[in-house]
Amino acid sequence: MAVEIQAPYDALVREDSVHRRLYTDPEIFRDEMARIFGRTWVFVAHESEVPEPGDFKTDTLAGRPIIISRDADGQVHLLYNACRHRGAMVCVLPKGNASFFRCPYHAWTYKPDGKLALVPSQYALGPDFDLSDHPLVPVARVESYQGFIFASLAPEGPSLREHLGRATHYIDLFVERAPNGVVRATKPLKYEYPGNWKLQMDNMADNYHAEFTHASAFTIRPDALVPRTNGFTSNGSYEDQTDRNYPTGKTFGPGIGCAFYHGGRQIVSDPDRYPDYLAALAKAHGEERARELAGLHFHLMIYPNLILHPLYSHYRVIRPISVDHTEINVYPCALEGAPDALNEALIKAAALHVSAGGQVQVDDLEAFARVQEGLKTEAFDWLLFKMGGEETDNEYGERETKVLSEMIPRGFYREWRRLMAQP
Amino acid sequence: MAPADGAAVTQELARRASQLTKSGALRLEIERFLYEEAALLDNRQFDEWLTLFAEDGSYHVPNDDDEVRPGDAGALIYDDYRAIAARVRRFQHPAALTQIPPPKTRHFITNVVVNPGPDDEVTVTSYQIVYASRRGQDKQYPGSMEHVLRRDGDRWRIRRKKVCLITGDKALASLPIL
Repeated sequence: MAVEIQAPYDALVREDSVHRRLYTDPEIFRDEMARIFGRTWVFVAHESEVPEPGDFKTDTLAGRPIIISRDADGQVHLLYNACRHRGAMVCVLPKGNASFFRCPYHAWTYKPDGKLALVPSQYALGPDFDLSDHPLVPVARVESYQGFIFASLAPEGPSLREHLGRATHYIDLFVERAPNGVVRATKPLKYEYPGNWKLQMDNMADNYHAEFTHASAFTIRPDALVPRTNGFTSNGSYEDQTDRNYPTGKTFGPGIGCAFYHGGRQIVSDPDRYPDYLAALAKAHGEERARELAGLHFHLMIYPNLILHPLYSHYRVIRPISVDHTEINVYPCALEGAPDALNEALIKAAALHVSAGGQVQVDDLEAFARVQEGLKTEAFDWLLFKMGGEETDNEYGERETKVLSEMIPRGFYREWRRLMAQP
Repeated sequence: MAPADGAAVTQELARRASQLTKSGALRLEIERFLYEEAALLDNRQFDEWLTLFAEDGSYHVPNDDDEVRPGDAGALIYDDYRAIAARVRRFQHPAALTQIPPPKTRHFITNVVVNPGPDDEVTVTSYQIVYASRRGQDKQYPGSMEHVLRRDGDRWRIRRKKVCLITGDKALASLPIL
C-alpha cells in the first residue's frame, strides 16, 4: 500500500488555487483545530448574549467545551468547562443565569468567575489542598471590541486590536446602525451542512455565485416578508442585483475581507417605510450619514469563524464539527433604539435569508454538500480561485478591487498557509 | 316521576346528543382538513395548498418552542400570505437546489384537539412529525402545531398556522414545508 507523504502545508496553497485535501483530509482538519482555531483570535460570543451578572452560555472553542460567564462585577470570563477534580463538564445548559457552577459528580462548586468556592469533605484532601489552586481553567487570552468577544488559546501574540486592524471600522459601522449604538443578539438560528467549514467562508466572499445558486430565490422579492403598502409590483425579481453590477471587495489584515454590494434593494433605508428609524439615526449621526448607515450592505469576514452582515442585521459564527460537517449559528441582532417594526422586519429578513426554513442560504448549503461529494472523485487536485483584475491600495491600507474577483478568498488561504505552516 | 319531567329529560338528552353529534362532526371535519393539507404537501400540490390559506393567513415556525415574541428569539419561517405564495413559487422553480431532487415527505398528525372559538373560527392543536427523505438522508422534524381556521362558506381557511419544532436547540438541515 502506497503511503502518501504528508506535503508541507505551504505546498497545498498556491496563489490562485488550493489543494482539494484542504476540504477532505481529516488530518488537516485536526491540525486546523490546533493551528488555526487553537492559535489565532477566534470569535466566541457577543456581550449581549450574557447581559446580566450571572448570565452564562456554553459553547466549544477549537472543539473544546467552554463557558462564557459574567461575574457579579460584570466581568466576562471564558472558562474551560471541566471540573478540576476528574474533568466532568460542570454545565450542560446552552445558556442561563447561575450564581455558581456545581459539578454533578462530587459537587465541587465554582463561582461565575471560575474560582473554586467549595469542595465537600475538603479535609480529606489534606491540609495542603488550596481551593485557589484549582479554579476552572481560563482560556489563555480574551479581548473584546464593541462587545464582540474573541479568544486566543495562544498565551502570546498580537493584541485583538492589532489583529483586527482596519476591520474595527466596519465593526463600528455594524454597531452604529443601532440608533443607541448598541446591538442585542437574539437566540441563534442554527443550521448545518455536510461539508467543510471553509466552504462557508469561501461563499461569503463569492461575488460570482449568487445569480446561479440563488436563481430560484431571485424569482421572489427579496423583501417579500417586509410589509409594503403598495403591494406586489413588477416581476418581483432581484433584477437590481443580477445586472452584472458585481459587488466590490476589500482585504485588510490577516485573512480579513469585506465584500460590498451596491445598488441592491435596501430593506431598511427606505425612508417611506421606516421614517422613525431614519429619524432616530439622524439624531445620532446626521441625515446623510443616517441614510448611509441604514443602507449598508456588506459581508465582513473575520477569519476564521465570524461574519458580520449589517443588511440582515446578524452575525454568523462558523462551528467546524469534522472535516465534512459544519454547523452555523446565525445571531439576528436587534438594533437598540430602533422602532419595534424595524427590528421585526430584520428578524423576518434573517428568517427568509439565513435560517433552515429560509430561501437563500439553503441553496448555498446544497452547493457546499455537492462540493464535498464531488471532491470524493479525487479526479483532480487544484480548486480554482483565479478570478480578478486590477487591485489598488487605498489611503486606509485596504487593498481594493472593483471587478469580479476572488481576491478575498485568496487572502483567506494566504492566512491559512501562514497559520498552518507553523508547527 | 311526573310525565312532564319525563318529556324534559328526553328533550335534554336529545339536546346533548345533538351537541355531541355536532362536536363529533366538527372534529371529523377538522381532522379531515388537516389530513387533506398533509396530503397536498406530501403530493407537492403546493398551489392547492396555498388556496387553503386566507388572504390574511400566516405561516410561522418560531426558533423556540416557548411562547416568545419573534423579536426575542427569531424565527425559522415568518410568512404572511404573500411570503407563503413566494415560498411556493421558489419550491416550484426548476433551479431550486434544495428541491433537486425534491424531498419525499410524510406528515404524521396525531393528538388533534379542536377548540371552537367565536366568529366562525376554531383553534386546532395537534402533534406532527414530518419525515423527509432526500438523497439517501432521512430527517425528522417533530413538533406541535396550532391552526386557527376560519369558516369560509362551505370550507375552512387557515388564518394562522404555527409549527413549533422540539428540535430548536439543534442545528437543522434545510426544512421542507412543515
